[in-house]
Amino acid sequence: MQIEFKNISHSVKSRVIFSDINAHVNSGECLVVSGRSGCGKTLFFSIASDIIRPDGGEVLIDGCNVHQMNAQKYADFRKDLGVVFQLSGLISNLTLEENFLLPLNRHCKELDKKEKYNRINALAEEFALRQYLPQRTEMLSSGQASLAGLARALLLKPRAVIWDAPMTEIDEQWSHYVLKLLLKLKDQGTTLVLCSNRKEVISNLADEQLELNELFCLSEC
Amino acid sequence: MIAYGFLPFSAYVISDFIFFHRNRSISVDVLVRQVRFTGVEALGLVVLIAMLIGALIIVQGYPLLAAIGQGNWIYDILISTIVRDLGPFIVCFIVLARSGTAITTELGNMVVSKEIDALVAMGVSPISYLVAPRVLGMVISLILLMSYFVACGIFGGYLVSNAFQSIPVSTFFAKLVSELHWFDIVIMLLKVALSGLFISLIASYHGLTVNRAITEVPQRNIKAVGRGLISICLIHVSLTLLYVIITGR
Repeated sequence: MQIEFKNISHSVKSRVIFSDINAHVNSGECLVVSGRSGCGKTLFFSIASDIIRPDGGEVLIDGCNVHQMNAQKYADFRKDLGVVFQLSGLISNLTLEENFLLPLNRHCKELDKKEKYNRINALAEEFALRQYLPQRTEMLSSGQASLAGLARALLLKPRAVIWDAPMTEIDEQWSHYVLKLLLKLKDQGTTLVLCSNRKEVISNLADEQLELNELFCLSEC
Repeated sequence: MIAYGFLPFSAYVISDFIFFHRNRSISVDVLVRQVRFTGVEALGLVVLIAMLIGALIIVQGYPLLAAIGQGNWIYDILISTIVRDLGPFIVCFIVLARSGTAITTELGNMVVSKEIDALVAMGVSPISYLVAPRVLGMVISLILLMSYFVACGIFGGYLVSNAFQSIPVSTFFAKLVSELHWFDIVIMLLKVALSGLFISLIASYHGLTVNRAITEVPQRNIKAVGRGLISICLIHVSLTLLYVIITGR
């Protein structure tokens, strides 16, 4: 999936956060958005994942403006985009299994129950979450919740993954595993947009880096 | 939709609520949970209050009416209070205090913990998944609770009336049914269904208008209860006036 940010501008309560940001990431590449705390990384993440619509500019997905997509194309875009939140974003009054079923029930109506559960069990196994599937997500530690958030985003085999503050909650061992997983996804052609200042993320994954500061400069890695 | 205000939000929810079957695969669980929480778990409280009110009406009213030789009016008073006026108001008030605040708190906390954003990111409409089933669940639950309230209130009244005058069950209920007009039931159902609709819409709207801070949740709750109470009063007074105009009673 090719993602392009064209002249993105956004203000919060009349304070300009972004002005004319341009960035571009191709299939199988990684854009790392970095910058000091409070510079708007999470806001950029929300705009990139179309949770917030920017005041100005456009987000193009494979050349198509996300705000001008018809209902079917927009549903496909949602299916193809895995979004991972800093606070996991798991639905707290559901069990982990129900959290995983939610995107599957929304986007994979053609899959039968057995196939859905096979997919859920395989991913839960991969992230050592199998025993927590019947439990409510508030029982998970923040690290496990973060892994569960990633697992949920990967459940639909997305063509792009957008992750706010990746690996901030997970231990070193899991960080290595997740880093390898992201590299593997990149090799398979998945587009990555990561909002992070972590050196290992930038050095290992970044093809392009967007530094959010007064200059909003885009640098090639 | 939230940014446009309460009326566009309500119109959107009601249109979504009409097409509920389209999102059935993801929303039925939420609907069942709402009916269980509002309509079933509140049963004990509603039964207790209904029996006490039914009993209180007889304790206060029967000696007074008997003294003026109008003991039979007690049936009319039971219908007026339990079925038509006081009963629906009390049930709606219980639901506003118990389930309305729960909806505002739950949705407000979901906004703060980015769960609503996560639903949007998954392509799941928060209105279809969270609000429409709650609205439908609230209307169904209020109708259920009102049915329990009427049954228990009248039964409580019957139990206490036996302390004053021994009446066979069949006679008591035959006299009660003869005083009951079909329009009493219609007004009762309209009152609880409309109140359920407004309580859930107001509670959901205020829950979803929380921005970022957890401290906004109790503030939104206070607003939701205040506005919910005003809407219940307006609905009940308007429908009572309609009843008086139509029946002339």
